[in-house]
This record gives sequence, C-alpha cells and structure tokens, in this order.
Amino acid sequence: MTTPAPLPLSLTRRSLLLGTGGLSLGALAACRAPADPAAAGSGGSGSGAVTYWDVWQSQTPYIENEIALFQEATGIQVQRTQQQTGAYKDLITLGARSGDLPDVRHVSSEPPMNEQVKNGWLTPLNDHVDEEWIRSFPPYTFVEGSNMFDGKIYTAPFVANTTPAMFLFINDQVFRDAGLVDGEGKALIPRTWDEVTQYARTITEKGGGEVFGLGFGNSAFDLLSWWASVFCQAEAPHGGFSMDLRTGSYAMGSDPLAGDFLEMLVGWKDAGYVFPSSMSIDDETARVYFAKGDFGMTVGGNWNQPGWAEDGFTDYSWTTLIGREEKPKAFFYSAPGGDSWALTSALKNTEGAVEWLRWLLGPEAGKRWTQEFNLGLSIHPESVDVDAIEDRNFRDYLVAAEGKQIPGPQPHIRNPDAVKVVPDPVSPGPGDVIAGVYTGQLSDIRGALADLEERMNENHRAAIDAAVAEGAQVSAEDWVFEDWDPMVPYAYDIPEYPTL
Amino acid sequence: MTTDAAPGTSRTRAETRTLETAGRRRGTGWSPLWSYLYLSPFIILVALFTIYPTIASLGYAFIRWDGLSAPSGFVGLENFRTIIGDPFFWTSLRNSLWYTAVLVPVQLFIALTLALVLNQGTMRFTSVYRSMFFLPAVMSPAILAVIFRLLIASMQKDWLGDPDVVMWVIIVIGIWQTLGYNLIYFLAGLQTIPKELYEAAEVDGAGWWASLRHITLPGLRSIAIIILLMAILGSLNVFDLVMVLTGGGPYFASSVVNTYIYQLAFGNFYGGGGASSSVAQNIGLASAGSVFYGFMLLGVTVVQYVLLARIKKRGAPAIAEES
Repeated sequence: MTTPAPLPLSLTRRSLLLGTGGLSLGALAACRAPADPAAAGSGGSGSGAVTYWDVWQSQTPYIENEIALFQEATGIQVQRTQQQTGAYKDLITLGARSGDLPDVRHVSSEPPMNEQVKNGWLTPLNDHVDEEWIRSFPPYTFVEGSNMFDGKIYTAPFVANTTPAMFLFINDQVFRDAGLVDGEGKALIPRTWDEVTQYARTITEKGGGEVFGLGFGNSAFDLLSWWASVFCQAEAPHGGFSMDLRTGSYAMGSDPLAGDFLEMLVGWKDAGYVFPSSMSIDDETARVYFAKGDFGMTVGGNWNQPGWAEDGFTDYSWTTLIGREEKPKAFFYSAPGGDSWALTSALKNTEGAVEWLRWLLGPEAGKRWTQEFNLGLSIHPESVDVDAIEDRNFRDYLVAAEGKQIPGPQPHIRNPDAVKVVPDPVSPGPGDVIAGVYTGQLSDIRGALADLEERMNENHRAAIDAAVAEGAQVSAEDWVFEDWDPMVPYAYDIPEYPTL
Repeated sequence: MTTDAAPGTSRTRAETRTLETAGRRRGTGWSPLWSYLYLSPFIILVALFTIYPTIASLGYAFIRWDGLSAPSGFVGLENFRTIIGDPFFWTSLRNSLWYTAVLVPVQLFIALTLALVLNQGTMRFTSVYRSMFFLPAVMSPAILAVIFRLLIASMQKDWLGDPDVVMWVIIVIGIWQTLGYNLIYFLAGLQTIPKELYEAAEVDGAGWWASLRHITLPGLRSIAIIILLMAILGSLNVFDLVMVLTGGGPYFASSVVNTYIYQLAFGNFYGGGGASSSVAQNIGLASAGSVFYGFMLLGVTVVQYVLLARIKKRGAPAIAEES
C-alpha cells in the first residue's frame, strides 16, 4: 500500500485558515467598486481602438457595415461589444462603478439620463462639436431635460421621432384566403374596432379551427399593452393607460376607454377569434406563427421586419391608430430631444471616440440606415427619400406611419426639474391588469381599472413629494396642459437650437 | 466512550490522534492538513456564495437598495410589512404549498413503485430503465422548461396561459423532472434490506403483500424520512422550472415564492403573461422576503424533524421486532 507523500510546505492549521481567509478577502476586495465611480475612467487621447457598446440585435449587419466603412475612411479601429438589452442597465451601472465602460455606448433609458449625468458617467459633447454640427439636426433636437443638462449636450437622436412605434400587421394571404379583399384583390385594411372584429370573425370562421383572426405572444412580457396602444391611442391622448396631460392624472378608471377596449379584447377571446396559445407563447414565436398564416392580425413594430425578411415573408400590410371610428380623435405623440449614443466618462481614445460618434450621427450613416438597410427613419430629413425605397414593406411602413405621430406636450420641457420625478412602477401595473382581465382572473374590469388609476395617481403624487423633498422645483401643475389641443402639433416654448 | 470512527470499528479519538502524530513524526503518515487543503475550495465557495449572501441578506432586509447603486436609507421593518401586506406574496406562498402538497406524495408514490419494480432480480435491462428515469434529473430544469414551452406551443394549447391549468402543468413537469433522484434513493434503500429477511418470510409463507408491509416498508422507513424531507424542501424551493416556463404568470397564477422574490430583486422581465413586468428592482424587499420565507421553512423543517423523530422512535422497536 502506498502512503501519501508528506506535505512539502510547513503548513499549520492556523496558517492554512489564515491563508484561506486572506484569499477570500482578496476575492471580495477584487469585487469591490472604486470609491469614486466617476473618477474611475479619466479622459485620455490614446490612439488605441475605440471601444463601443450597443444593444442592437437585428441591426447588427448595419452597424458592422458602418464600422467597416468608418475604419476604412479614418484608419481608426472600433471594437464593438454587443450587449444584451435586458441586462444593459445593470451592465452600465456595474461598468461605471468598476471603471470598465467603453469610449462610446448606446444610451440606456435607465437609470434616468439626469442620474447618469449627475453620476458623472457621461462626457459632454460641447468641447467636441460646433454650431454647424448642431444645426445639421432638425429644430428641437437638443433640449434641456432630454439630452442636455445645465447647458451641456450629452447625446443626440439617431432616428426621427415622427413615426409611431406600434402597428397592427395584416397577413395579406390570410385575408385573401378569407375573401377579405377590395375590388383590386388587395387585402382589406381594418380602420375601426368593428372592422377588426368583423375581419377576425370572418377569418376564424373560414379558418376551420386552423386559422384565427388575431394572435400574439404574451408570455415573455406584457405585449398586450401594445394592443392597448394601437386600439386606444386614436380615441384619447392618454391612450387609455397613460397620463392624461390635459388634467395631469391617470384616467383608466374614470374614462371608459380602457374598459371598453378590454371588454372588446375579452370578447374576441371568448368568441374564439384569438390564436389559442397566445398567452403561452412569446413574441418571437408569435411572429413565426403569424408569418406561417396561423392568424391574420398581430401587433408589433418595425423591428418585426428584418426577421420576416430573413425568412422570406413579405406578404403583409401595416396600419395603426385604430379607433371606434375611422377619424382619429388623437395621435401618437413625440417629445423633442432624444438620445442614441454618448461618450462615456471612461474615455481612453477621445479623438477616435468623437470621430466615431459624429460618424454615427451624421447624415450619411442615417441615409444608409433608411435607404439601404430599411431599418427606420433617419433624424436627418435630407437622408430620407421615400420614393427611392425599393422594399415594398418598408415603404408601406413609412406610408402607414405618416402623420400618425405629432409633437405633444412634455412636462420636462416646460420644467426641466420634472425629470427628477421618477415614480416607482406600480404592481400590479397596467400590463398585469390587462393580462389578469384577459385570463379572467380579474372579472371586475372597471373595478380593476379604477384601482389601477388610484394607485398610479397616488404613486405619481408620492414621486413629486419625494422630488420636492430632495430640492426639485416641481408641482403637480407641471403635468397639466389645459390648453392643449391633441389634434394639433404642440408648439414648444423653447429655442429651436441651443447656443454653445 | 465516544468514538469518531466508522460503525463497527473501535478506534477512539485519542487513538486516532496518536496514530496521526506518529504518522507525521515518521514523515510518511496521513496529515489532516491535506484534508483542509482539499476542503478549502469548497469552503471558500460556500463562504462566498452561500454563507456571506445569507448573512448579508439579513442586513439588506432593513434597507432600500436597488442592488446596483449605493444602498439608500434604513427602513426598519418596512420591507417586512410590505411583504406581509402584499397579497401576491400569499398567492405565491399558496402556489408553493400547492406545488409541494401535490408533487411530493405523487412523486414519492411513483418513485417507490418504480423502485420496487426495478428492484426485481428477474427483470432484464433494469439499468437501462434506471438511466431513462434518471435522465430528466440530470438535465437543466431551464432547458427542460424551454423544451416544454416549445412543445406546448406546437400543440396550440394555452396551458401556460390558463390560470386554471398552469400550476398543474408545472406540477406534472416537476414530478417527471425530479422523479429520478427519489427513484435512485429508494432503489439504494431497497438494496440495503437483507435478502435473508425475504427468504425467511417466504419460508414462513408470507406473500408479496405481507413482505412489502412487514419487511420492505419498515426497512425503508429511515431513508424514506430523508427522501420526504428533501422532497418537501426541494419543492418549496422550486424556482428555475417556473421561472422559465411561465415567469410566474399569467397574472401571478403560477408565481411561487422564489419567483416572487426574484421579481422583487431584479424587477423587469419577470413576465409570464405580464405576471409583473412593472416592479422596481429592490434587493432590500427581496431580502426581507427571503428572510421571512427562510424562517417559515425553518419552522416547517423543525416541525418535520420533531414529527419524524417521533415516528422513527415509535417505529424503531417495531422494525427491530420485525427484523
């Protein structure tokens, strides 16, 4: 029998425990954040590759093409890291704390922009741009409280805010198979709630249990809120579930709109018009079923398009702002300002980072975004030529979107301190309540909506109080725009362009 | 006399110590320092990822913290009050208890039945069957959940979106997924029962049922207690299967305590039919939920131990008598 070799080191129990403890503390210390996150990355003018983060998935071919063009034109290398959308907020926060941020990154909507600026995570662009650059964007692009804080510009929008996000998609083949065509044999486009119901009934009846009128995938997130948006926004400026900026309060309980929509939704389900496993599948799966022709109508956005194009599915149409009547009583509303990419405070290659940011925000990159890759509307109007777009689906999208989104009032434009009011989300929130109603768990629809309204208004008031306690100059009146006409583009009482 | 040696040996602690010292003196013997060295990676990992978070969560339960920025503000018992006052915590607890109450007896019955069948000496290919039953247990619950989601979607059934059905689907998948462990434990228990007992029973004219009742079940009692304990605690702690299958939805219909705590800790993307996509990330609240639930489980465990100890005590002479 062999015996184990003696321990070569002179180890005692105490020294081993001390060593183990030291190792643990060392590991913990390695995880510790630096004391001053903002100071973790200091500006530099090195000549290494520009490090860059984004959260683009389906837009990857576009951004890789831009990187290749940029590198060829400037000789500056760009090192891209594609981050996960769901984890991006955490990655940004952790990166800032550990001093491990890239030179240029996609702006995250959370933490709020003002918090990111306050934390010193971003580098202002003022020293790197001029008046000419600012005026290359449309009026009201740079706005205090949106992408400017204390007169400093931090980012700029990349896409135009003139197109709404949500659409009802029509599977043209399913409509044709159900006989829902016009005189020229083209699929009919529903314009009202009644038409959607009628077309859904026709498709379901003719589908023989194989094809349904409507379908969606709600299992991964509250996609039914998108349906509320498409079907309620034409009826009132609050779209059923948002704040009514004419009164400064939520109205999902006191205005019958949201309840009427939910009753219609439940009616569709009870009548069997909805694809049966819609609550069990996710949005991606639902998109595949829609393309296969398992249902005739679904709600989504222009991000559906690349996947469908890849799968060779092009036989569909777009529509949005569907109300009780054909003529809408309200629109989708845009806010001035906007964001896309920003320089972080951890700049290692300042010159290269500025070059790369200006390249991305330039009209040529915008033109390729719209005209070549058909991914959306560039912020630069001169980069858009709808007639020259060859892709039928993308052209249809732009036509369907035209005039559906107009400028709306924004509390933070009138009072920049309004951005300091950040209500905690309520639970259960609007998406939860819609799901609860749809599944029959909340049978008292109006009661559930009244309760939601009360909780959301209370939450908003509490957030204002908290901001005031922190020194913000805000009041509930900042959310009230009594003279607002929802049918007319809102005129902002701010300069079209800032001065540097 | 106390010993720390294996049963059946009579070496005392003092003797063991003498042998160790002698071995060290000769320079060829076994040194306990090697044991510490080998144990150290495990100790470090457990300290870092189990003990430290457990202790830390006790402190976090009294603050408001999103887990990323600096913790803000001592809130006292407010987090506990919020948890106890939240109806969705109680919905989640009810679902956890429901899951456990159905899964444990059904699964243990199936596992025992299969173990008895597979323990038959005359049966062929038993190792193949054992592997088949154990296979789901070695697969990641998350992967299994994804596969089942796709399977259910392809069947065009709204089982995961139907609040009346969703928990049953999860329970059935849960039974199937962890059956293998209990089957193997029961098989191991069955193989510890001396064959002579069955032979003697046969000589005495005992049939299959009498052997099962008077030999097999009493012989399995000790291991069954351990299996039951582990099954109950494992079921009360179910998380990954529910998280990936439904995220707790629709509208909390399948939310269990661990998915509820996860939702509090990490906020968004809880989903599950809009189960709760709108919750702010709050590690303090999640820690309070964990601590509260941890104490509840501790209470359950203590009650279990007391009851089972009584059962064991009452059953021990009977087994000895029967043996």
